[in-house]
Amino acid sequence: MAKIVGMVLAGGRVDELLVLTAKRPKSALPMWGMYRIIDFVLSNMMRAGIDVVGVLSQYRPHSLNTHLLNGEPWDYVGRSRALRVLSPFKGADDSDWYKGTADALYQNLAFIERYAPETVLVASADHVYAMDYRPMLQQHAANGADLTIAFKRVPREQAHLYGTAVLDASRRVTVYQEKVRHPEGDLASLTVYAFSTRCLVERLRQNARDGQTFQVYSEIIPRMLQESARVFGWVFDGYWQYARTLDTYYETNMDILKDDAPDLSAWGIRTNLNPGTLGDPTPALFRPAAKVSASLICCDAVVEGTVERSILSPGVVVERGAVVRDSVVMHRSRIAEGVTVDRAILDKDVHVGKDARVGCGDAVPNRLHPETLSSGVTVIGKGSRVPAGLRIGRGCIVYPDMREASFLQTEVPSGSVVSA
Amino acid sequence: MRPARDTLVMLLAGGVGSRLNILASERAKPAVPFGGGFRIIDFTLSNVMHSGLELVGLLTQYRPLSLMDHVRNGEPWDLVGRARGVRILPPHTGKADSDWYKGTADAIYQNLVFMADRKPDKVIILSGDHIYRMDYEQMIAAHESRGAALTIAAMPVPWEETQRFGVMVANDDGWITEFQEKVKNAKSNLASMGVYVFNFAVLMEELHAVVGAKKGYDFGKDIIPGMLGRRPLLCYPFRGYWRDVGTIKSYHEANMDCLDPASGLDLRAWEIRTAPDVGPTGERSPTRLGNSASVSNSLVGRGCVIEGKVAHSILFPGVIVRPGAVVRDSIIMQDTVVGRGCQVAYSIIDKHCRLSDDALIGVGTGTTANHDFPAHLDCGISVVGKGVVVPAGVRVGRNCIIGPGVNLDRRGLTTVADGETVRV
Repeated sequence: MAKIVGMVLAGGRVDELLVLTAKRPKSALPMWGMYRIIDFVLSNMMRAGIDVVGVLSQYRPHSLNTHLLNGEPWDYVGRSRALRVLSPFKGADDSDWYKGTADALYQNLAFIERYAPETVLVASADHVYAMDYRPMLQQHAANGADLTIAFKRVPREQAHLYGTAVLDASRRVTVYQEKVRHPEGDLASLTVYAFSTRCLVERLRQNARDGQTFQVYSEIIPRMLQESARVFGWVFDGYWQYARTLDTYYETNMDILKDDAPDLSAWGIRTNLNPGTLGDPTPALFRPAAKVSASLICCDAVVEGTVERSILSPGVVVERGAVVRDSVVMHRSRIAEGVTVDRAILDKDVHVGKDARVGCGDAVPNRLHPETLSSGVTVIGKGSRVPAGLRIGRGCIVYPDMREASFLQTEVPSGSVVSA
Repeated sequence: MRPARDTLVMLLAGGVGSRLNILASERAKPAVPFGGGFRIIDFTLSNVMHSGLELVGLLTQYRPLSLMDHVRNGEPWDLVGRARGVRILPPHTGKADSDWYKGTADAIYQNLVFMADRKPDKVIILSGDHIYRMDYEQMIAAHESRGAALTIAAMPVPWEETQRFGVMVANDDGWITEFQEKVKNAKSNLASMGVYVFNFAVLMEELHAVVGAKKGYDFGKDIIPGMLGRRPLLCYPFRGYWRDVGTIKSYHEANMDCLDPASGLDLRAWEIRTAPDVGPTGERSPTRLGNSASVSNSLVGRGCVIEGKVAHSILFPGVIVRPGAVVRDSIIMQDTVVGRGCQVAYSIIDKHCRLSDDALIGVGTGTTANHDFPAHLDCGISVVGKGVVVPAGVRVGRNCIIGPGVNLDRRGLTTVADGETVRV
């Protein structure tokens, strides 16, 4: 296979995810208990035999840097293998914060050119999928394409959420439209692009001179089509999810508990197993009173209560008499005796005090942010402490690091937001 | 400076765990899996790490492959760095005096060059055979402040077990006045834990005088008794959980102690480290419990899929328990599959076994001891070796041993009666 460098777009701040991305980029968000979303693209790169990967990161990169280490979890250690986090830097004249995806790639052309690849595979770190890139890369080479874009067919009514395309019989892209109200095609872009290096370098230089948005999707691709460059499509038909809103983040998590869930071991998704604390995670401990079913349980969890259709990340504690139902509970969160948590996302290090209820009453959209949270799921931000006995309704958002004093009443009505 | 900094660790990990029978027939005793994701040696190595010790010579001899794969470069125990490290010390040939290790003292003697090159002030000699949490740094500090030549860690054991141990008599100041190695009618129930802190100069002299002169090869039998009266030997008392897990029964009990908050064995509080088990493909996913799953009073490692019932058991990573299966009071190691409707009771199932649908292991109330190994197996536990295949509906009784690699399907057996042994 031709020499390929992978470039992973991991920097984006995603405002729609609010409290979950207050302190981390979306690519560093936990998924399915022990993974972070970026694990999926990195595992895909590893499995395609791509030996050099640059990760473009700008927004609050600390948790990402800690997670990626030297790339060892994905086997990126060795003479010819490398995983580098490429943060914005200062240079002679043209450096700055990344202004967009095209600009981020442009500012790291020196990294790409050092390896003199024939093809650059650009992929977003924000998507949950297992894809073998190799057939797409083979088609790209066979076509002598300038650019090959991966697509997935989506329901017509959702097509407006994506960049969409129409392909001709030879899979050449004839139309590409970015999030338009009534798109012509129903093939949604997965933000997986195989560029010939020569074309990418030329297009990025051009964009650096006269671009405005500095985005690959809104400037590079449309201009290539205008100028009749050889742009082809590859249609992928496996599981692919994009946590665009709090609702879809919750749904994507819950997908793993369905009967037709992706087979995680067949996918071979790897992650950094370093807990970053002294003492390795011990196996999950189920106490004599534990009742757990239809759930995903990570190591180091301790369960004494009841857990149904839920995901428990490493180190979660569910005490005696507590009930966790249809919920996503992240690392080290502690659910005290007698608590009920129903249809909720608890970020890391949340403590729910004795006999509190999280998620009760009728499902209502969040009053301030219905565009991202309308399903009635309640979201508690990282490190917050829910006081004993408090009742939190449905569709609520609690910001990170809230303390007992932040909750003014004994009840947080459905649809409300608790912040400092 | 931490007193541990100028102390070299010599870890005896060559142990043949013969009474563990097939669990230790293809791996050294320190490499025997424990507690749903650990190996026995993890306890000693974690103690080394938490005590601030930095350099470990790991003496191997018996079937060292599992052990070397597991310890690697010592990174899981933070033993990588300029001054920190783990060096594997296998038996080697040399000019005149080298050979297979003839005993604990001989193993250390044959690696005098390794030790002398490091110029340690003290050497702490450990074995990788025990389940315990101990701060060696405190022991080293006591050794220094009391001015001992050798300090031996000791704990009281039940009188009826004293003949399995070296026992010592100490005066009120803690100085050892008598030492007996594995004798009947011992004078004391204060047993040596096999943890020794030596001044390096003393260790060299004694080894030359005893092992070098071919007078003896063992610390408990030869070196320590010979030092009595000539050198200050300090007894360092230890109180806490400590198990030898040298027998199948004690191995099973110690595993189950992980589930009992009152036992004193607390994997979480002890911060036991291990090399991450990444499975055959380099990753293991979270454990999945199905709609009909029921798991209680159990430890469950990564990557298990449980659809049946698991009670009072230890499941290592990657174990699959199919619907309708019941596992109780058992230890099941990596990637073993328990088929639909199987029943596994009071058994130890090694890695990569396939128990087909409706197989029964360890069922019944029989008390017949194992015919071939009555001393190893008379408490009712059945042991199934690595990679065993049990066909559908086959019944294996109590106190049975199915040797590693046995395929009962090919043997045409439908029943293994209480106390029977099946070997390849």
